[in-house]
Amino acid sequence: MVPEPNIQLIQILEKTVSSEKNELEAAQNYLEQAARGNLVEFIRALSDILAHGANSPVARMAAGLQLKNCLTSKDTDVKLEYQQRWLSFPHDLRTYVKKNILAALGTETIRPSSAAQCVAYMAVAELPVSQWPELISVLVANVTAANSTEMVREATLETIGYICQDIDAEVLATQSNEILTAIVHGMKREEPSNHVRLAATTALLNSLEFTKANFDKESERHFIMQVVCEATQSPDTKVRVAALQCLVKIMSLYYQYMEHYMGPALFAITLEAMRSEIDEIALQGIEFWSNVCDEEVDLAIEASEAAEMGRPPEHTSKFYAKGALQYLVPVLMQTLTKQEEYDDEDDWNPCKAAGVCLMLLANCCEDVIVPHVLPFVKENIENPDWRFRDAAVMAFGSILEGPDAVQLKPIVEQAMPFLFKLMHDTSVNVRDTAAWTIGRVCEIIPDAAVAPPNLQPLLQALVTGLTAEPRVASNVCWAFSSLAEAAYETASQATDGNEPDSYCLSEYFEPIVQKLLETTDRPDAAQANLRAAAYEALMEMVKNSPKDCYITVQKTTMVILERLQQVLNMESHVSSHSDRVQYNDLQSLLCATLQSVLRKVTPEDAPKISDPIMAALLQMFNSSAGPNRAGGVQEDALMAVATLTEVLGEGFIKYMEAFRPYLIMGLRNHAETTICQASVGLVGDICRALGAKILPFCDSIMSLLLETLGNNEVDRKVKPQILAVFGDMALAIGPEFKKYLELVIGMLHQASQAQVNRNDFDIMDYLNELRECCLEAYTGIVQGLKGEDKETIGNDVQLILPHVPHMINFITTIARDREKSDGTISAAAGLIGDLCSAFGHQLLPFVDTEPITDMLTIGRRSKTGKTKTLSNWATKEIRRLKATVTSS
Amino acid sequence: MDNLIGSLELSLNVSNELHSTISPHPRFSQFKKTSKTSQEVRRRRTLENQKQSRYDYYNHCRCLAESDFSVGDGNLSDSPDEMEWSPPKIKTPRAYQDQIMLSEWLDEVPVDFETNWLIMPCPVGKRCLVVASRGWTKVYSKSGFLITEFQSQLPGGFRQSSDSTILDCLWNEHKQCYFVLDVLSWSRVPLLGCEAEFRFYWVNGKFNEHPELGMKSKKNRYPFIPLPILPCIKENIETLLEDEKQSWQPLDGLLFYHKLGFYTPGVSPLVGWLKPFMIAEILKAKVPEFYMQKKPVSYVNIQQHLKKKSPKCEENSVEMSTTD
Repeated sequence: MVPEPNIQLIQILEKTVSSEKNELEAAQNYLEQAARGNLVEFIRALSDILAHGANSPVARMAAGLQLKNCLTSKDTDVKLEYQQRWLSFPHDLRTYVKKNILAALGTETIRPSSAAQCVAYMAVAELPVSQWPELISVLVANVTAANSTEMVREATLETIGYICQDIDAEVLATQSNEILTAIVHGMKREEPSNHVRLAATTALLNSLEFTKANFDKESERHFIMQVVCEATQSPDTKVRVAALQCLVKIMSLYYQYMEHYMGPALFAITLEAMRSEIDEIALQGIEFWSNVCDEEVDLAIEASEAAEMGRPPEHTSKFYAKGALQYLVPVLMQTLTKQEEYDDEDDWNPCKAAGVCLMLLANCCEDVIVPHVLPFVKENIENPDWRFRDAAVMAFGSILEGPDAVQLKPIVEQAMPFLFKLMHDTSVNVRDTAAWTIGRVCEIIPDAAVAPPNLQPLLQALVTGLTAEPRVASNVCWAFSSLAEAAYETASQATDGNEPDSYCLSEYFEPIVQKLLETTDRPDAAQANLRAAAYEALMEMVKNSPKDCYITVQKTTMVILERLQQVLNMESHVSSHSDRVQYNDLQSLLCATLQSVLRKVTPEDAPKISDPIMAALLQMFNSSAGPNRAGGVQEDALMAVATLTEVLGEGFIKYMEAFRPYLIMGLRNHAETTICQASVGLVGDICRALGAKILPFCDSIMSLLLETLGNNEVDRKVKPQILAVFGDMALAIGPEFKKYLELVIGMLHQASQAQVNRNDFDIMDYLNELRECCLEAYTGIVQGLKGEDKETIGNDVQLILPHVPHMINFITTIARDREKSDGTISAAAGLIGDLCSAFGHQLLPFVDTEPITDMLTIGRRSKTGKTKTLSNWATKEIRRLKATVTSS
Repeated sequence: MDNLIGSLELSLNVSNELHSTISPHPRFSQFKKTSKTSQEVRRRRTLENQKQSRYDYYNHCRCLAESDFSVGDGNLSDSPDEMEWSPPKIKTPRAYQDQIMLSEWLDEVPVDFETNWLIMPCPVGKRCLVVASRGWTKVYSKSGFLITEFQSQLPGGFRQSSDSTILDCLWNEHKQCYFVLDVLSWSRVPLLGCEAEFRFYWVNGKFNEHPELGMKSKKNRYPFIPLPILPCIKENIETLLEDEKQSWQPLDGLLFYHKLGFYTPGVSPLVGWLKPFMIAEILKAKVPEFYMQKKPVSYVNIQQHLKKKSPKCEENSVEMSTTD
């Protein structure tokens, strides 16, 4: 019998799918209330309704859904909280509910099973803390027992799939045999139900990560591979797709084991899939080979790194992509011609996948792909059918990266006139692909683009292209970005890295900039990301401009400033949400452009324009901090201020009073990490720009920095940066830093002792960054407090002396750490040098040690100039100390 | 009913399938890929830029010339393992831009003028930074452009020398020599953070030890001549202006250094500057007629002069007219 209150709950649950809005909302409100009330009873009731076969399918499913929502969430923090909450419930309730939902498995009449999800998410909460030990064997028995119904087997395999997807692989490692047995049982060719087979195949897909032990054993591997390969031949499309997905994943996880299966099975299976008329199947076939390329590119990198170190690589490439090229390329070309006429840009289809796959193949196989592709390009570039013209251009554009640029250059030069012509093609798809391909040429083989016979027609084609459809024009903008960069680099190579007087785009510079400015103003510029692309191109043009284009840079600066002012005046007219988004984007773009022009402005010109710029930025802070707050805009504005401090140097002091409130607001913005981070970085910039003049502001900034550092809510990313900024401040105010010294040194001392889980790469990166920033902070403090005279040690620096042993310990810890980064070596070397020059020969016994000497040797061989320079310097400082000791 | 189940299915769907049609395909961004500068990219660039600035700033303090001193420096190749590395080209475009310390007009006499200030006669010439490092003596303009390079006897300025020295100089075209105004570092001893009085004492001492620096020779292409530095008393000022025999004549003006001032890039209030014809007006000293005749017709007094200049400059400071 269903207890009384449950009847009402059942009715409510049934209304959660009501098409009537009021009913629906009322039902949802009721359920939320119930969950907030007596949750234990609510969960018990839900499990009853789900378990009771006589209830309507809708009520049961909705009950399952509500129950599941009490156990898990998309938000990882909430999810963890829910799991803890569940585990804190009385034992008898948990047993009761688990029994209910486990019994419900396979009793539902609609798919997918909601009981399966309830069991799975309960398992994800319980298994990691060694609860519910019998679960896996119950599930396995459900699948393998001869008398299990189709629904039981299917729902159970779904459960296994969900568990595998969500749980930490280590938790199930010991039970992987049992789980795998169940899965493989459901996948077998003999399995009559496609539903069961699909659920099993999906479960396998989710379990591949923790069945490594099974893959390591040859016989088990053979068996799994056989079952998967058989499933790819299923008449049911869904099963085929899922099985192919398994192959894709197996290829990346277990590449080294695939040699045995590649020739006899995988090659044929995937090639056949690529040819399939069914898009989902073709997509998986293509994805398989894209994945092979990714793997083999990684392996090639590993091989070259190993060769540099003079040892054999751990894993070796079997060059499957290269071997299959002659079969793959024709199929891909065919697929390229299957474009949609009116393509929904968000659709993923075999034609697009083929384009990407070809690009990856070119990257992976390099030169050898060219002869496979070129004939198709030549034959079809003037084909009357636009699909073939487009495929030809696409194929050509896709193979530009990978093969040797010198080999490609003459071919590209030959192709350029065709591409220019195709910019006027009758089909917009072809025009788009042509513009993209020209952009690729400019980026990858710029020599062919800027070669004198091509340059003028190229610029003509591009300038015309700026007025084409937004998607075409957007590609053209990108081409300008690459072109500017390439032209500048060529010119500055001749001047040894200095700003060149002129370059090949000089005479066209002003009209191009003019056209780009017009493009940013096109009424349709919101489409296809055109406005952003045009501003982007503008930034690149300005950034990469030689001396003789300075007048245009000046003019552009004024235009950007004017636009910024206009845009700020528009603020009150912005009403709709989409207007707001565009308005914010535009402000961000203008701030970014402002940075690129400011970087070019001469020190003489900067003070002339800084007043209106700063006024505009302050207005922007003011309005973006208001009710329509836009974090992105604020961040870009902060970055623009950073550039301004760099250009103005001490001259920035006159804005400090007005800017201070916004800086403080940014430092206090712990909720928006990017803003907090940008503000912290900016403090460093201001320290460098103002030097000692920052002193009156230091107390308030310092207390905020310390507060942020000690706040656990703040994203950990911000913290290393704060440490480094202490160094900037110490250097800026020199001896005045004494008053903060003990506090800051204490913080650094703590931070330098951080211990982390060394198995997590991300955390290791973080540790290295933290250490680097500690070292930089110490450096700033030592440099700031020491007198510049090497012969005598100043009084202020003596204050550091008690902390030197700790610094040396810290450096030694880093020196001994096998996973130290290049950045930490560099910063450590810098600090060693600084300590040597501050404290002279008394330091010698501390730094002339084996770990430090070894680290400096590694540093001197670093590929990074910085690290090499500082390691050399530190070595010399140590040698200098040794020399003074021996000579005296 | 179908609809109904559909809506349930959607809400129940918690799986994040690899190639679900709901989220964009993971390879989607690779299709017709163009490079795009997102805010994220700008953020990364800003951070990199900050890191670089910090690095430059620290190295600046370590010693200016060090930003590239060790690259290609043969000093370390005494042990075999260093032979392998080939010097990378570090892009330090115009590392010496705006490093010179510039003066302000001395439009009023400081109260501690006689006790805490020093004078230096300043001949006509082009202001430059002389960087002797890694075996070459390189001359950079105020804006950081390399003007010339040659061999000199300065520590670091000749082959075989691994030292480095940086001097603030004036190039006199007519006399083909470098007048030494100030020193930023000498033989790898950084002097930026030392008081002016000490720097002058140091550099004069070094020039006394090495008379060959003042001589033109094969090893020392141009003479380097340190300028005298004297306490700020009226007699000294008058002597400097009158003493026609000295090599630094004719003067472009007088420089006034506060004894305790550090060497800081850019305009410093601790360095003053006057043209000879202004000296009578400001310092009430006797100025030879030769200099008084050079007063421009439009010149009334220094205040007027500064007012005329200031709209262009906005700041009450100018560079020495000798700088370019």
